[in-house]
Amino acid sequence: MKAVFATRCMGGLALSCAAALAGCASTADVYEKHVRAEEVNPADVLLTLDVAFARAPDYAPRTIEYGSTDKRVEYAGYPNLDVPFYQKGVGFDLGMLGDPRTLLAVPYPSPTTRRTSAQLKIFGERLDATHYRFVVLPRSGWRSMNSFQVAFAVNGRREGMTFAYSTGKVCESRFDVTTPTYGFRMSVAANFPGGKPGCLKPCDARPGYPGHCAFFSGIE
Amino acid sequence: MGASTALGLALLMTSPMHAQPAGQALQAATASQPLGGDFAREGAPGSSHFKITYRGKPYRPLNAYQFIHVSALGPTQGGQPMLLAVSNDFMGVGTLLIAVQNDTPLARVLSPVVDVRDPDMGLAQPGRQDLLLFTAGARALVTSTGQVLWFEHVRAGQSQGASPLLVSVSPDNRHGALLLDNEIRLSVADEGPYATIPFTKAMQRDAFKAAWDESAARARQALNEGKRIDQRRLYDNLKADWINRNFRWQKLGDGWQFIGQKLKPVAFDVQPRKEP
Repeated sequence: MKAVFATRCMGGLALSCAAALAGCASTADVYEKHVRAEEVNPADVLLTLDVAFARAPDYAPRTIEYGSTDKRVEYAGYPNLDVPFYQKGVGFDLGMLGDPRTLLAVPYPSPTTRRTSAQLKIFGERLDATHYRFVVLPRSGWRSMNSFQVAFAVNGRREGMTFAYSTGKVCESRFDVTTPTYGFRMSVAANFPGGKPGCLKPCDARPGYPGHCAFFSGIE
Repeated sequence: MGASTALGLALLMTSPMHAQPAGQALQAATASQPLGGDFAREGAPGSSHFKITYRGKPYRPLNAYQFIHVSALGPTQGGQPMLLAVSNDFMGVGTLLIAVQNDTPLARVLSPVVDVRDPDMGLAQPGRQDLLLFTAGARALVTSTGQVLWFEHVRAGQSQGASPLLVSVSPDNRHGALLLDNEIRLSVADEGPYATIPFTKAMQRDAFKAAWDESAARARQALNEGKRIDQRRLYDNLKADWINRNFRWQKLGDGWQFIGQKLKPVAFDVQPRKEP
């Protein structure tokens, strides 16, 4: 009896797992989308970022493919930009008056605002061991946080340097920075295409949290 | 049921009204104290929690906004003072050095330890006037220049293993000695480990017995005085202290060796890092 129950339970679990995974396969692309700088349409580019690392970052590119009908490709193993986006929308939560177990409950919708985040991982174009070129892209339907992180690793030590940018202000967008955790040095230079105005500053957020800058960035 | 919902609603509606005057009172009470340059420290009088501002705007290094210690270190960079700051515990940041580069303050992690009662302010290396060791994070701070040193203990292709303690830095500030479970590993900044000293577990047990007893005694005494100290960090710092008294740095050709206890450093076969 117990065994039967267990197998049933497992069956149920597997089914729900499969459902959950299927859900992931179709939506993960929305929340974390991987792009290679080489494959980007130049007309979409918001800014290009040239980075010269003082120590060559780890470079072991990998391509991971998921799904059979609905293919999704991820990249890994070399420096990339993490670009955060968000959406704000009005949604409804289902409220409940009374106890649902008694079947005397009255469900009612209650309006809430929701904030959803997503990120774009844009892998850099390798010029040589220490020089990489990245691009920053907008995402239709998503709002930008005007910030991104250069994520890389040296000898397996992962590090992130966050930056904020503005397309309204003009400033010297070429400077040297030192990363917060291990003190890796890098020089960055941002170019805004078509001679548009632009400004890049370090954002000094915690590695992994671009978009939450140390200043209320002051350049927006 | 209906009553509780109504009560909830009433609370929701009234709480902002209550909160507002309190917020204003707090605003009025905060005092700003200049730290030199464009930095200032803000906090309510009598409070031990501070916020940092740069040019009048809030500055939240590594997203930490509440600090239990903020002070100018002494040296300046980019015309602005360098700051030593310790975050409040729930900020999860620890001890930081803040220095201005190209008009923007940037933070460096010195110690990952977050402890409000006994913050990690570093251990002055015995025999050095200007060097603070942050043993737990394998980092050191040269207080005269504000240079932050970090030493890698992992050999290429090996797993991280136990977390090391940085116990000593060479006089040229380029080489560090890291205490591991079964050895002392010598590491050069930016390059990694280059030698090992067979200071084994058994030897460490004997050597650090007195340090353990002293740390226990001091923790007990602190408790009796109504204070709480981090006995584990005190023990680690006493270990570093012992090693500095029993080992010394010696220049050998281009490199530095760490000599003591009649132990001979064994050089690793270090392959220069292939450009990836």
